[in-house]
Amino acid sequence: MIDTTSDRTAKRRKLWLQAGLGAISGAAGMTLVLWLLEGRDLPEPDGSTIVAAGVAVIYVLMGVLVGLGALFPAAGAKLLNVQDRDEVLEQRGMLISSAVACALLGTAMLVLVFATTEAALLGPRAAFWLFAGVLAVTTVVSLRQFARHDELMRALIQESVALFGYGASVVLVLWGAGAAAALVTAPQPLDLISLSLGGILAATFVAIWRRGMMQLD
Amino acid sequence: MLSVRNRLKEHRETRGWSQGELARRLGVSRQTINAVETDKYDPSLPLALRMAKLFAVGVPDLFIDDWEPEE
Repeated sequence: MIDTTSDRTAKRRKLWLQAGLGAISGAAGMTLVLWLLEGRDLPEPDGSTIVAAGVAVIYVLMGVLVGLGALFPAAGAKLLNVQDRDEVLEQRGMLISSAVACALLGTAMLVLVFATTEAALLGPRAAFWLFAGVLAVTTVVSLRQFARHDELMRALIQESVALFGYGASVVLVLWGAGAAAALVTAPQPLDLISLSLGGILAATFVAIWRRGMMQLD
Repeated sequence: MLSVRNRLKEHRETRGWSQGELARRLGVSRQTINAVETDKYDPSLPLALRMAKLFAVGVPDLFIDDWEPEE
């Protein structure tokens, strides 16, 4: 398919809109989390806590944006990586269940991240079981969706998982080696969660980008 | 990555079908049809065979590979 200049301009505008909205939402989300923590006389959060909270906020915001896009297809066509309004309507069920899963996972992760601090909403044990329960539910939802996907989506998921596997292995092995040599601090428990949940998200974007599907024709 | 060009859009438009209509007939998503037509995705062999059958053409008439075997 040959793009016209106006097609390319429209796609570029849409991509910038998506990127801009994502960046603004992410910054606003993190500011909100930090604002909620302010004034509670808490110790300065360490790097692992900040990164894990950031990943959790991304999941929550992604769930909210995808959910809004699915509920309001005209806006969804502009915000989401879809061809048009009709595609939002066709994929609505799947978009809504993905949105709910992302929002729940992000929220449960936020609760877990702060479970051992003064800002805890739940104690560590309850936060763990909430997180584990949500993870189990989202895994079941993902597996059920995978069975309903057609071959393009399955290929994208398989590519994402492969990319994540390679990437996470390299990071973990190098990090472990560095820690074994006492050159860096060993990964903290929250780092492993951030690497897994953040990594699979990043790998999915890379897989879509590599196929040239970030801007749909 | 090995990749082939295709004439799916041409055959589809000859029939007067939208991407959605072709997707429905083949049992895949419209996103898949769009990705094949724009050379972003090479379909599996079963889907390529179904496409060829649907348009009553041979697979090499639908998918074009410029590769030539060495002499």
